[in-house]
Amino acid sequence: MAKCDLLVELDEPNRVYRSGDKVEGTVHVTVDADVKCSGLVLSTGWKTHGRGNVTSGKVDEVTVFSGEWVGGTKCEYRFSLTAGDWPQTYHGNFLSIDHYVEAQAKIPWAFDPQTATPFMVQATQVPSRYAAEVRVVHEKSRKPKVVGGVIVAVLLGVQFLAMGGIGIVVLLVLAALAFSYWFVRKFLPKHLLGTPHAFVEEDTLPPGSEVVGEFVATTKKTVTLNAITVVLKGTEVCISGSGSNRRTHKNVIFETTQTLQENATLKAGNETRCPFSFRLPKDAAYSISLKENSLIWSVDVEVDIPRWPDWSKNLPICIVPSAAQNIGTGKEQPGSATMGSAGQSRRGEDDSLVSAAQSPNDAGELTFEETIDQLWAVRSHRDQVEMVVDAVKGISFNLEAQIERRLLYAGDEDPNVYQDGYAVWARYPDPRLPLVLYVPHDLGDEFEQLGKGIWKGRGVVVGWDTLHGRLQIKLDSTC
Amino acid sequence: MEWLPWARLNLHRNPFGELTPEERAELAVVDVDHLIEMLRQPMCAVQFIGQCGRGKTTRMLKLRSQLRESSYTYIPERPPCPPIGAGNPVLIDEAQRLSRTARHRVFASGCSLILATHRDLSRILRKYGYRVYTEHIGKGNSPQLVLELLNRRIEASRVQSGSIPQLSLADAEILVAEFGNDIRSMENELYAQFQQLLEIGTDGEV
Repeated sequence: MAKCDLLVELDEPNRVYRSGDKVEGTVHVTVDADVKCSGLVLSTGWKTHGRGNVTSGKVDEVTVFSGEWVGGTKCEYRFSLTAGDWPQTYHGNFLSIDHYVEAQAKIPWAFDPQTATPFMVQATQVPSRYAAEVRVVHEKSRKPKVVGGVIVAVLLGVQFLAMGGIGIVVLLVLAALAFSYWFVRKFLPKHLLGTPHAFVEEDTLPPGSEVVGEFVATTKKTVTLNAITVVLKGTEVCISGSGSNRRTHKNVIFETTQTLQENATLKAGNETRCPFSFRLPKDAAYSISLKENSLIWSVDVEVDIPRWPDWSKNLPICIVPSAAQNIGTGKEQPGSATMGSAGQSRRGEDDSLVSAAQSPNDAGELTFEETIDQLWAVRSHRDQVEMVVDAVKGISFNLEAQIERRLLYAGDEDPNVYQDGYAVWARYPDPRLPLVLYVPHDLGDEFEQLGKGIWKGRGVVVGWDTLHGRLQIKLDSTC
Repeated sequence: MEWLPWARLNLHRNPFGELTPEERAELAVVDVDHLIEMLRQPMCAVQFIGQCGRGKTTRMLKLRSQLRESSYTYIPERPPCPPIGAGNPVLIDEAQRLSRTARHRVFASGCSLILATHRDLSRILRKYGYRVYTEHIGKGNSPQLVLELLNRRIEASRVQSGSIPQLSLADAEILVAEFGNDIRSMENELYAQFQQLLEIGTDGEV
């Protein structure tokens, strides 16, 4: 087999690229025998590496050559690609993020040689498409604990009740344990401290700025405390594996503690106010949320009460580039320069697409192709995908789909599968949005003969398969 | 690329961090040719049995990368059982977790099967008419093999020609003595050691 070596050489390998900058360079190709290449593709993108499962994103792509390379020759091709604007290059202990120029030669019927060269990116703002995710990681640490707890409790409750006498005993024991935990960890400290409250004035800040907050309490009776401490902490949180192999790795990258009061006495009926402030490091890493790789900042307030359960509160904060302050908090000023320039154009498209699909009048005239285009544009943003799908749910479309494979098993929970019918994974031809087609029994032969060809017919959008990122469509054999 | 911390070791990342499934398949040191040959026959089922971290999934990923018509499904710990696509062959990771209905649908399909499992499923496979070939994974993880696969991971993180850190056979023997045939634990240990290597500033002696 012919050997094909690729080398990406950047014009400025040590340059720090910023939003909208062009990464320029030359890709060198060396082949030792004649090779047909269906496309020499150059792309920019980012990738995480370290303890967590790899997350990556593409930014720009260009095909610089297609044709035949003659054996023994060396070829060079210039490229100019847009650099990514987020996330910033970061090298930590458990989490690292690098941007790359990647070259891949597509060789028919052979392994595609590829190579990548890293370049450094400094973010100047959080692109709007990432702003929500950056904030969500700070809030989800609280919500799921409650929601998850309720779900687990209901599921376990039903299961134990179904088991009869022993189940009820176990259920009562578990309920008693849960109540004890709440009573000791939540109720008792709060009861003693009256209405303890801790907050930070501004939770979205640039590096080098000041985190200002306060602990406030009005006790019903005089209370002596060991200490009131506040900890500012930055943590890398990475998840590796899946299922039973899933592991969460945490690494504290920054931690500083302030003792607000020591051996203090809070007098009954008096309001005690303990202000605090931290100066963030000038080189503090930005808050990041990239699926299973996050960098989380928080302020933890803890009240150490002698011979009594301690009170604590976690206050998440977001560290963002200075121009991006207040992103996602609902405090943006109209016209303020807060969004990434590369992100702006995409976001603009996304928003208009979503709003088009939201209107039921428009939806009536919407074609399947337009629906696919909308979903394709927002496919990496779950909330926006759900919004589009909700808007088109129940609408019947003329559609076409390239068949991928039939499912042997569609899942017990899937109510969309026709009785005696089956499900098929497919893709829209262009863009190649993944689909699930629910095929009625009487279309079975047609699909069998079709193999991996393109099916044309009518179907109704019934939902979105979040797990596999597929639009669910129930086919109609009567049309 | 002086700015890249790993460049000092002529690497572009910690070689023992998580990999993409494609990278795992590419770097696998496993021979699957005989299995591919075997799977050409009808009603053939191959099962890999072994504990976590021994290489079952790596074999599955390697096979998937070489069998273009195959389908691959990972069965999560908690239900519901995900959809399972038809393929030639059908690869199912953590197959012992298949629900009764899903198992019946898959085994009754007659498709060639490759299963990674903690539990021997040969009896039930034979009931459906399969000829079963079982490989116990982990037993062949000798120091030589460990050396080859770990050095291959370091090599895959190379920046350019020149020297890079390498493990010796003695290192591999120490790892095998400590972790047995648990490759994942060895990788975790080496991840930490390579991070230390970066921090203390040596030039590649592991």
